[in-house]
Amino acid sequence: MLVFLLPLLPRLREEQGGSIKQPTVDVVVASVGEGMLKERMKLAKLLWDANISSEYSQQESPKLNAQLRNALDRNIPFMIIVGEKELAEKTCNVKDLKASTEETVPIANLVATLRKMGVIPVGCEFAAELATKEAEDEMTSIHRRL
Amino acid sequence: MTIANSICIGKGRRITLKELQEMCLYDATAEWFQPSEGGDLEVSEFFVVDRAIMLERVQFFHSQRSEVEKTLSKAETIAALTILALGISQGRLFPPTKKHEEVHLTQALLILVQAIKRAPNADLNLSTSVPSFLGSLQFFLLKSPGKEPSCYSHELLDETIVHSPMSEIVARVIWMAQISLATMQAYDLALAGLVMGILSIEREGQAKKRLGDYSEKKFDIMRPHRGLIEAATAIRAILNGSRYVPPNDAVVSEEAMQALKNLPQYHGPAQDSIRAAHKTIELELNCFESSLQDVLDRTVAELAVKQVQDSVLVLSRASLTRCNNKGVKSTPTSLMEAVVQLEASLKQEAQLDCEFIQEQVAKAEEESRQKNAERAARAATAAGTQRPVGKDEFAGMSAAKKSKILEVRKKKEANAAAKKKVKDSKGLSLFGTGTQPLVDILVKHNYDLRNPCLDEIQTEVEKLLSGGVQRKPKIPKGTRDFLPEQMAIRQKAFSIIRRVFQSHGAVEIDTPVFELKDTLTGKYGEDSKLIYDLADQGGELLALRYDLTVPFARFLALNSVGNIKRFHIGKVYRRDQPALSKGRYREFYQCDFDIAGIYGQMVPDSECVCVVCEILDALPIGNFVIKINHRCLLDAVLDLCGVPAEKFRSICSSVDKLDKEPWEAVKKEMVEEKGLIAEVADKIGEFVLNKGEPMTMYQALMDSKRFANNEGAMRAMEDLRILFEYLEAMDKLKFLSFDLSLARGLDYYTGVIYEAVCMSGNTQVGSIGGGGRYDKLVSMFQEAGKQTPCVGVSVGIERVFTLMEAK
Repeated sequence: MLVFLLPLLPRLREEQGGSIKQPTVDVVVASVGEGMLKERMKLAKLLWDANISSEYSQQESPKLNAQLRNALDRNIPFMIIVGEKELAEKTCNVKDLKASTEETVPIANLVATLRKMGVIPVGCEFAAELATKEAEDEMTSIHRRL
Repeated sequence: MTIANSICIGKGRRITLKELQEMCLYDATAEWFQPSEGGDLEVSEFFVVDRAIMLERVQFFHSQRSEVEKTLSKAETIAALTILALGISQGRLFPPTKKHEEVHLTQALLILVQAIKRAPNADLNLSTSVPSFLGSLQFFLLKSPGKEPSCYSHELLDETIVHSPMSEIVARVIWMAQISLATMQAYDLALAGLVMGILSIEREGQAKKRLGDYSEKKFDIMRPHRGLIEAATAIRAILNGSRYVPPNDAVVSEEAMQALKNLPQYHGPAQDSIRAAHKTIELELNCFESSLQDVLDRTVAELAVKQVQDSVLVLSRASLTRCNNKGVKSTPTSLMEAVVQLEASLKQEAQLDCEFIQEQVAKAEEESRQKNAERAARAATAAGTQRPVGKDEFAGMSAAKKSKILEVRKKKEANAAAKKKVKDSKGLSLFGTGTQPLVDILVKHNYDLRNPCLDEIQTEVEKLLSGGVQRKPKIPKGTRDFLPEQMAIRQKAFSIIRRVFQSHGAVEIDTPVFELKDTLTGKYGEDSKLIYDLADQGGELLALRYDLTVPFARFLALNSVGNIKRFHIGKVYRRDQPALSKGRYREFYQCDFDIAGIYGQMVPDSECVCVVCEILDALPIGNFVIKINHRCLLDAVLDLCGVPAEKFRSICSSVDKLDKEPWEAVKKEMVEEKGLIAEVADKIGEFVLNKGEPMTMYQALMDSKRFANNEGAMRAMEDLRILFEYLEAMDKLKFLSFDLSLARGLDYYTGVIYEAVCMSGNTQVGSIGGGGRYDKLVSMFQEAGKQTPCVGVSVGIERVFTLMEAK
């Protein structure tokens, strides 16, 4: 796929002054090939049920390139890509758009993978922040004791 | 209302009638508020004119002053000067076109303001005729001592204006000054009139019996006219507790009795119409010609003046009647005269009432003093017999016991004294709670019906109305307070809803609760009559928002944000008949989710339905069903059945009632009220009674070929098929029911429509949300040719609260 574009686009954007836009979702569900809209909907539904904010292109058959550009434009951190091959294997590709990494995961493990990568469910942002801070404090105090 | 002592006039500054009055009759002064930029006030040599020449000119005008001319009162003179200065300061009367002209204006203005400031202490009574008005003004300015700017070359003070349109402008200013002051006085006196009427009721001595005539039932419910209600409320508040009954009934004539009985019925409307006219004139006061060639038409103000004059006449006649005065009732020829007449008659009435009331109070006091003296005497003799003096009743008791008995006795006496005090104070309030303070104010100011007396009366009446035990607190119809526990439930519901909206990547917006009235009119069909219209504020015509969709459409057209997926949680207002058990309030929350922009067919539509399903699924409200239909399908059905196009909307609203009423009732309404042929109605019935599982319904309808080849219907069916497929993919189809009777009342829907209803078993217990596609609404606010298709859904949270509270 068009992975080679990934490192290039953010750099271009930074040169243009960077984007101040806050992303409205954590995950964009994208697809490759014709007539995959319903597959995108199914994946998005999976994420919505897990309280993960996600969106898909509202066009029937958008180009992957356009979907990618849109996600980068809006500073969205993660992207899920599904194509014919993945569909058959019941997997999907998860891209971390910030770190420019990509991995293939079974759809059954999708939510768990995303959570592990740091996606916080909607409405839990502050609680998550608090938990992280508490964990850090704990670590420092342990270090000090040692 | 308190008014600052100096009143600014300046660009963009409006003055109220009250301020004008303060300036003219009382001690407020005018200050010219000068904008910071470009106004050094140095008098340049260029404009300085020979003083001698000016004097000569002025004297010419002054000499032209004829004997028969009427002069303005001092107050009217100041008012006229103020209005003139106001006009110039707004940059209107002489719009400055060049820099030096602006300086010119500044100077003219300075002169005027100085004149206004000096006028109260000077003998400045200008004439009502334009030439001598201006002439005397200049004369006054020139002969006054001091080092005021000596530049009078401005055209305002030039003789040529006498023959130009300027003279008409000045004539209007003079007239405005007169009517403004008179209107303001009428406005003040209207309240005084009510107070006098109330005091006269006391004088008549039937207040206690009369309260029924002014009851809440009689006005608030049976005749809910604003003025009537207000007057009756004031009467009730002031007269509350009155118990004076005259020794013999014949204190007032039959005629006066009638006038007192009907006090709210003529006083309310008169006060109301004076208030309306007051608003008009206040607005007119701040309007000026845009150039010297323009003379404003006087009709607006003239009509208002007529209104005030008529109302004042009603009030003054009523006042005379209440005083048993059968004298000649002359008809005033002008507003000014009418106001003077009203003031005189009210003063007479005030005197009559207050003297009478004071007399009665004194008499009552005297009586109660006598009674007290008698009682004291009786008590003394009683005590004398009971407790023989000199005999020690405590003989043989221990000191401790003795002191205890004495203490108890002391306490008893103190209690009795306290009780007596309460009784005494009650005994004195022969008249209503408000009567005595009002009488005191009137007497203190010697019945001078002007400020500060009127101000004090107004404050007193407001105090009586706003508080105290007399008034049961009420909440407006169809609204409610939220207690902390209820707020907790509401907060919970909102956080669930917000979470779903945000997980779909929607952004939040807010819009004002009121919109321009024309933004809202013509968008809601038959429901338009339920819009809350805000009373005329003397400016823009406003209305409270009826839903969040139309404001959103206006928002889109105004802000050109392009494609947007937004949510909006806010209160909306509908003047519906409230049904609290059904969760129908007049003020309630709506939670809207809309997608604007051109996208794939039915893609955003399916997301909207998905969102409402997710929300209702997450809220603890039990089972629900989403009924779905298509506006075009409905139109096609009506068309196929042979309903004439102009009846579509009204038949639609009948069909929409099918969820609450049986088919027979709906059919009856269509045939009898909307004039449909019975066979046509039956044909409609064959269609709209169909509902069921979406895909099965779709197949059945397609197989039966009942839509023949109706193009609209086919397109609608195709839309629905795609929608169902998408919803299947999102696993939401299980909540759906394809219902051909669903119509949604609002006019603006153009495509798929849906409504969420709560179910209890198999019966439907109320709608909790709905929405649909409205492709043409935004273009109503945009320039021709542009289109922003939109689709949205709205969740009515009130019903959800009721359901959640029940749990």
